[in-house]
Amino acid sequence: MKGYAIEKVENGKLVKIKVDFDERINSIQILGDFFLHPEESIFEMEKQLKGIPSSQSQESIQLILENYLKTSHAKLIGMTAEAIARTVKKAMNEGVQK
Amino acid sequence: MTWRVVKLEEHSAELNMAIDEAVCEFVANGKSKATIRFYKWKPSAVSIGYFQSLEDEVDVRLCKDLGFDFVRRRTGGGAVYHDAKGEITYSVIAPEKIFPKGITESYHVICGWIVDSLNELGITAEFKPINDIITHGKKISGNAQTRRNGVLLQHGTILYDLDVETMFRLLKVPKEKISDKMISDVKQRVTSIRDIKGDSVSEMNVAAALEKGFTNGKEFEYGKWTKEELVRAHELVKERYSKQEWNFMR
Repeated sequence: MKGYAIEKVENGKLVKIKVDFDERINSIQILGDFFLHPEESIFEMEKQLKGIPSSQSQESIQLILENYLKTSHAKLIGMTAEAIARTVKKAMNEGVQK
Repeated sequence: MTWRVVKLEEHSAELNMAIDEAVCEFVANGKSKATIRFYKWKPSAVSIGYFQSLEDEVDVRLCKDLGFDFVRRRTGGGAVYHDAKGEITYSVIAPEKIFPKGITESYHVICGWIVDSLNELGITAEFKPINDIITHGKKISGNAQTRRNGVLLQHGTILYDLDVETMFRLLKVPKEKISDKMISDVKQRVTSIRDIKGDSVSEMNVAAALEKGFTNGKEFEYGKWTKEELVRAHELVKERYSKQEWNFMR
């Protein structure tokens, strides 16, 4: 299944999630007009979510992203791990494209 | 520290972005001075942020039909329509150690130079975090920054003469949303130097004001690209900025 969702962070930027999933996340793209330093970290962030169970809670997705940002010293600007995690769940729950 | 200032020039989208990256490399290895450059995009172009999808954001077919360029930037942020006659872009490329460590603080410093430039033209403006400059509540400049290998690159655009209709044709907003109401809504949120000052301010006046605002209090000299920088920039056009793999990467 493919899912899609979008969220604009208050006083921040926009994130779009495109996800392909069944019981697990097969592939995911985190798109948007936010900033992330260094930019290439986006691929590693996506890799962190690939293969996780689709049933994973928003909080645990957020934790995965926050752990990655912390250990890699990557910095999100205009965006939060919380908003990304919420949008990932929204894409899989409400944004399924048939 | 002496800055190099490269006066207003115009290039294709791919070469403009390649020059930024090439100069970053040369500043990183100490072969080029910290640089401030001003440029336009010829033909007109759309640039998208690093994390955006070109096909999601831009009507690529229309872009091609109009003979416009499109390119993915190395910086984050949103899609920008670079009207050949409607804006001036700048890049600041310098060792990051001369700027505050905090991203917002360093935006504040460089955006302050734009505010000074607008003041030169009699326009009062202020920095609005994260990366905008506003005047009377409307956006007049958008900016984006990246840091690599100890070098800070910030580039941004100063709107001189806004063509909202063309911007909306090129940037993909769901068709049902493109109504007169929405275009006038954008006009409420975005402005340009011409909106404020009318025909009294020419592009040359804007370029001169920018040079003044950006160099105020700095040691600088006017300069050109070195042969090595241009060779590297053309390599980067071939390797990256003209490539489908880059522009359609996401």
